[in-house]
Amino acid sequence: MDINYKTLSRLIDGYYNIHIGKYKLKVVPTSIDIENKAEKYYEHIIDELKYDNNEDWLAEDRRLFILQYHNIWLPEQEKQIEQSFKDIDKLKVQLYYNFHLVDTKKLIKDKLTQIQNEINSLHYQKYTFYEFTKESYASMLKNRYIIENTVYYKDDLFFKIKKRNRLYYFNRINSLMEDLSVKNIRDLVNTEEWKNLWGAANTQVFDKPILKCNKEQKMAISVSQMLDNIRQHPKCPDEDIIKDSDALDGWIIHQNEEQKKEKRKQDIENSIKDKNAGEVFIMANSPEEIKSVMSLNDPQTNKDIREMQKYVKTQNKDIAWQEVPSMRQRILREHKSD
Amino acid sequence: MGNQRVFYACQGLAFNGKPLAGVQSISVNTENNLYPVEKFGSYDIPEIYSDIPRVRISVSRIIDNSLTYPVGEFEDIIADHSHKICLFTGSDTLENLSDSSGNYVAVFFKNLSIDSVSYNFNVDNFLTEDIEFIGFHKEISPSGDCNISVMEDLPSVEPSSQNVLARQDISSYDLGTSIPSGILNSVSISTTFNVNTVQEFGKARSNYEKTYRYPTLPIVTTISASILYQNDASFDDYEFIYPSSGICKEKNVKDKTSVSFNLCNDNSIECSGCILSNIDYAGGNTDGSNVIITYNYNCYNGFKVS
Repeated sequence: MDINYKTLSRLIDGYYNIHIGKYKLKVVPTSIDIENKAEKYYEHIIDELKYDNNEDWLAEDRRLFILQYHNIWLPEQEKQIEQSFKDIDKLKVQLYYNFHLVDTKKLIKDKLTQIQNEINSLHYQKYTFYEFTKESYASMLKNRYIIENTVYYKDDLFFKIKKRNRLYYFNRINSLMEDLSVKNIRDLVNTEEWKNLWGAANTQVFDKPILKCNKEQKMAISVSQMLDNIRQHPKCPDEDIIKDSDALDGWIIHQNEEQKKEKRKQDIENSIKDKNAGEVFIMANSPEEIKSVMSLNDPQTNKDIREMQKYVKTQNKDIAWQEVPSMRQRILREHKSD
Repeated sequence: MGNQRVFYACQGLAFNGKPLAGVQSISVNTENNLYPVEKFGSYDIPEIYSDIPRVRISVSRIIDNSLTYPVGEFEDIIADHSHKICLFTGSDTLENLSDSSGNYVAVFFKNLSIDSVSYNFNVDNFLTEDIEFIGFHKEISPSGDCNISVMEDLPSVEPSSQNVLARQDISSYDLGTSIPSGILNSVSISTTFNVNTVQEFGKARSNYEKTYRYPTLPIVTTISASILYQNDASFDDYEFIYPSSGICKEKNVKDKTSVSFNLCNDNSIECSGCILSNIDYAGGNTDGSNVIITYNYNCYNGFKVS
């Protein structure tokens, strides 16, 4: 069966089946009600363990100290993981820019997979010994609470019927349950079958209020609404880009950056008195602030400024502004249209 | 500079060789006058003559311990064409600009004249000033007149101490004898000198001697003071009784008066030769808004900062 068809049927039904031995179980993805109750249960467990003997548990700061002591997780790796996330965003933007260049697109896709694997591996390292912490224990109980309240056998909650070998069944069910990812949902909402359904029923596609929908159904509604908004955007990307999850992320990041830049420009416009000013000097005290200011210029302007800086370094005298080659070129360029 | 705005990251501003604190924004408008020299018999333009650029610099700052131009009658301000401004810009790879690294570019403006000055005092905000300079020298100075070491003289800012001036720092004010009492809400003072230049043979740039740069007289300072009306008897007596009632102090309106504002940093702004030109009445609506009376003065040839 087509993977998207399976996903569609799972969304419409609001559940999926797993098999353990003779049992055909029905797994209903969590609704907001179950999630809230599970979260409260987690907080309750943490609260109960607050005054527990600390020697029985590995405290988070102690865990991090041990990881650092044994060179398992160092501050450099923390920086590396942050950098990797930033790199992913940059690559997604590049993917959007170079989407129609087949070779470049493939290179970027490969690099994205590589970085994602690195992040997974770093993440695994970061959570070494996490299982000995109170938080891990509370998460495990929370997860069991969710399983207890979302897995059905013949219309009854499975764990109400099954009183023996509970631990075995918890572990088996846990290993068989598989949440849909954003990518799965994005793939689905781009199919014709879903588009037809969405076009006809919109947010009523599951025939119930959104509050009653499970998390996967809500995700499908929110992704569909997002795509509708993107399709109505004046700078809407190609349909091919919309269908590519990473490239679409790149387009969203690009648009957000553009919007931030425009907002910053507007704030500066409001603060300057001379509305005809050709040059605006903005106070900046750190490399990040300088970068942020320089990003307000177009690439050609930044090139001119860099060339001016380079030229000035080669000179050892005061130079009239209009004599600096890059600035002279700029002046001529701007007067060409006059 | 023509069509497109260029943004520079600025890490310091020195005014007349000293760092200027509290600067909020600096904008520069450069008129690069280019004249193509066309010739008969040719489609090509063999030469483009570029005249000396005319530069207008606007500096907005929060007033801290001193005004930018600390002391002077308007005659002194318009006769002084020797101001210098250095703007220090660096590249985005640097942590801080320093003299030793040499990795900065100083944009240097010299022989500047003050073309306009304005102050805005508002109860809701810091006291601010905007100064506009005009000049004809725009240079890039690698060291010479613009050395970043001057920025080291910038007084260190203590978070606990008060460095900027706000409403409590207007120690006293005088709006002239004919104004009823009330709560002063906001003031804006603006004076424009309209500096003109005289070009001469043998010199490309405008001579900055005072005989070659002159203001357009009279120097008109506009003052706008908004007062939150308090129930004062003179309010009704003064503005809203018809002249025919015989109690209108019409004479006072026509009298020239002096308006002054004293700041607690020992600076004061005084304007003499002021005529109350109009009074705006706003507010007092049924929605409960306060009555604000705005007094607008025009002061002629009487601007002084001390």
